[in-house]
Amino acid sequence: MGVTLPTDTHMTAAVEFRAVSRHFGPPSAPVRAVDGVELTIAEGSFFAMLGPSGSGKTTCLRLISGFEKPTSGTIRIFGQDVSDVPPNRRNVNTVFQDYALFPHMNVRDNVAYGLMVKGVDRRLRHDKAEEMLALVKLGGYGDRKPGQLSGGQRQRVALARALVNEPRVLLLDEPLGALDLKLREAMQDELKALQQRLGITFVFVTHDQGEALSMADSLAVFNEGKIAQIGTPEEIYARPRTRFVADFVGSSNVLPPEVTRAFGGPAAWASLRPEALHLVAADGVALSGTVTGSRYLGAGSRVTVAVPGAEIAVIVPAGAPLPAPGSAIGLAFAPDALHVMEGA
Amino acid sequence: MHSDRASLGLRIAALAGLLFLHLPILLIFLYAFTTEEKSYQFPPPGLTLEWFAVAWHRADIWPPLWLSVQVATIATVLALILGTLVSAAMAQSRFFGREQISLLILLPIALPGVITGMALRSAFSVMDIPYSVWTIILGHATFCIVIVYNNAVARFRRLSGGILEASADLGANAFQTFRHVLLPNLGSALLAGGMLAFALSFDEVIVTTFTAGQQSTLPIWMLQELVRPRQRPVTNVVAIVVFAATFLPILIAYYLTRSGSETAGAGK
Amino acid sequence: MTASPAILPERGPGDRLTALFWRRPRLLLALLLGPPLIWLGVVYLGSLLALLLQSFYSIDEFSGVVKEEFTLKTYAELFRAQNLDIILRTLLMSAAVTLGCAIIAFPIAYYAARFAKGRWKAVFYLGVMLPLWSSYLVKVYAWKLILAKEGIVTWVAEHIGAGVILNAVLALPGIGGNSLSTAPLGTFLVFVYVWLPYMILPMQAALERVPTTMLEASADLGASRSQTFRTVILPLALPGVVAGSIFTFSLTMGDYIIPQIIGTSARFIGLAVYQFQGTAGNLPLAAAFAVVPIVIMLVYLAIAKRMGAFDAL
Repeated sequence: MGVTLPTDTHMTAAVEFRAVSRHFGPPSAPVRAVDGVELTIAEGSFFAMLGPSGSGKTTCLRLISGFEKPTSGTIRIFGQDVSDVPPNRRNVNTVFQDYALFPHMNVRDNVAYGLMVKGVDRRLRHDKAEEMLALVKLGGYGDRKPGQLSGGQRQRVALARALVNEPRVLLLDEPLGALDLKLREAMQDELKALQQRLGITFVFVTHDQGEALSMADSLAVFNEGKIAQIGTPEEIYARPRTRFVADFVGSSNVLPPEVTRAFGGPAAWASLRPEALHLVAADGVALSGTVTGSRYLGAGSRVTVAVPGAEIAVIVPAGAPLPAPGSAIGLAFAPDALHVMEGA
Repeated sequence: MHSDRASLGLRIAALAGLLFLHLPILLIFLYAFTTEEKSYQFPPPGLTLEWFAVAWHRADIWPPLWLSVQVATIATVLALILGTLVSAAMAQSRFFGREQISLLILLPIALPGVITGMALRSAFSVMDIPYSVWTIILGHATFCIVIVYNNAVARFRRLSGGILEASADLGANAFQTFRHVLLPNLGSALLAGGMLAFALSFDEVIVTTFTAGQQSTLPIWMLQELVRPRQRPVTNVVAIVVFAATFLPILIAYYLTRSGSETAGAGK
Repeated sequence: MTASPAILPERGPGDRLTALFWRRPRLLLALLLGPPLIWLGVVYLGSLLALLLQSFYSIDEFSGVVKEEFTLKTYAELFRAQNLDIILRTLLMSAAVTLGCAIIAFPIAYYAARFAKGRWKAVFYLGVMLPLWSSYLVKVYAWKLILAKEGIVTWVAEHIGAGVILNAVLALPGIGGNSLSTAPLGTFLVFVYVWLPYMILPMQAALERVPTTMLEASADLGASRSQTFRTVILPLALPGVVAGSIFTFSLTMGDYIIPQIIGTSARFIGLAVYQFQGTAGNLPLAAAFAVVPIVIMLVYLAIAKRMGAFDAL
């Protein structure tokens, strides 16, 4: 790491969206894939874009890489307006969802591709490619064709290919989506470690809330082309701003206004995390209901309790006794666990 | 019960069908060696190799052969350029009128050749265009476009669209992407399309009779021999040449594209 | 590690053009589509227009010169008895050939789609594709050899004692003749042979789309083999048959070589077009005759489209 790190770049945002919209279809009846998005991604951060499919997160990623152009608004990369800059001149690289490896090239040439088109000579780019392959633990795989690799290996090649250019921002489009659970968890740790080691800004698109919460420094939750909430994982998990966020992130209990009031809050929508609740004896408590069922989750059990106006989920830690379905049960929680949300 | 083996009747019918498709062509080879030159007597009274030498020295065969090669080559090159361009456009984006364009490309081969031929003949007549090599090429290139197009568009469909974006993402400009990513992946499909276009053009007779005027391509020469036979076995020797000129390209095209789901030729 | 620039510099004209195409994707599209569309528009559509134009001209009966003024006289000529005969004969032959092709094609397509695996799949594929692409003239020529009076069919028929049957068939009025190569039956046979692959391929494509599970479901529900075949396979194969019939019908209708070489030299539409534009020098009538298959095919395509045949192409 050089000692003369320019202080101004250190402070600028890696990516900024100012009132960015991307509409598809006829102007008379546009499909608003991205609708008035305001976004600032800090340099060196691991930023996740989370949302269901069709929520606009992938379109946002493609707006950064340049494969989509905003219908209106401005996108800046390290302070520079990129409205006029085609993808090949943006120092931003992408790990594609289906990896998009070049099938006619071996792994080494795939990784060295970015250097080749920049005119780096053969020896140098091959050395650099091998270095990158070693970084993603694929040393010695240079001569294989992408078709001969497993899904996880292809994903690493795609990563090495994107990193060889030393991009200022690395975009990852659901990169773990095609991997099985175990591999996915291992890759999550590796990606996180890699990001910390390289200090490159990572922008990560996913529909998996667990992945976003565990990996990101900050994240944006997308819904219908808009950002529903932006913040650190803790903020978003503990204090969802809207019902959508509460529903989508985690498996919160979403309480309608009258139930919130019964639970001791104001007459507004609120969220209450299942693990913030615990079961107590039914007699003598303010809140009680009837057990309707329980599901074993491994690390605990999820018990559902019917109260007037809602069905409340409660996480009971492993080992604790489970109430029988149909029995009456009391509910208790710390007052600050009840999080009141804005709007309906 | 439904079984996974075909019944005997079905197997016999399928095999008989395949034989029906292939046996007649074999006769062409046999008759090239017959000693009988006035009729199609079967079995041939004797066998000889002399017809190959006779055909070689027949001065009236070489100019049509040369003309056919010329026409097929130029028509193939034109079809390759035009077919690749249009398939790239169709693969690249959705736009208004796509359906109409694909219909327009297909039309010259979907409508009977006699219509294409007669249409060109009418146009030449209306515009007073004299017959030349180019009037033949005009027609051939037109119906060959679809052959190249079909092959290229199938390959485009199979190519993950992502690799072109990946190339741009990694810093390649449009020309570098074309040279390093598109061409290597499209190459064998284009070669196959070119082969098939050449075969189609080399063998074409229906449209050609309308656009050739007094010129004679090899198929036209053959047609004349069919209507008014002279030395019959010589026609067989020429038929073998024409057969080889169409058989080999399709075989090569098949091997070039068989790895994919798209296999060459299905769209003739 | 010093930070590289966020925006890379432009390197030469390649990058500049790339940027231009990126900013104006329609420009690239226009550049790609321009040449082929101009070609097809001018050469092909232009010619079709010329054909249409020509068909509205007429020929001066005395001088034999084409009169270049609009008239429906030439189209009226199509309705003369001998010309209507030609159209009817062509339609009849096209229908018969289509039916013949469908019957022979079915077992091949069915076997190739359902039972052929691995190596046999390739054999069937090439087995259909090679005759499809082999020289048309060579195939027609081969049949001239086969059907000739002194040819292999007569020879085989006599050697297996079927000469009587052959002669009886040839004696039938309407389809028979001096030999098969001069009989309408011969014309029919060659048509079926030449267009057969065009029927097999779409049929096979349609049958391949019938999921095996659907057949098993039918068997599970207690259908016998022939019931499954009638109620499941045939209806599902039908779009393929219709798609194939577009080719066999259209190709038969427009052909003028086969009836010229094999058969009674009774005229079909294609042959009429060819003769009117050539020896007779009556371009307008030839053009009007060429419009007939276009109209018939348009009607045919409209019907086929409603039967879902285009999904099988």
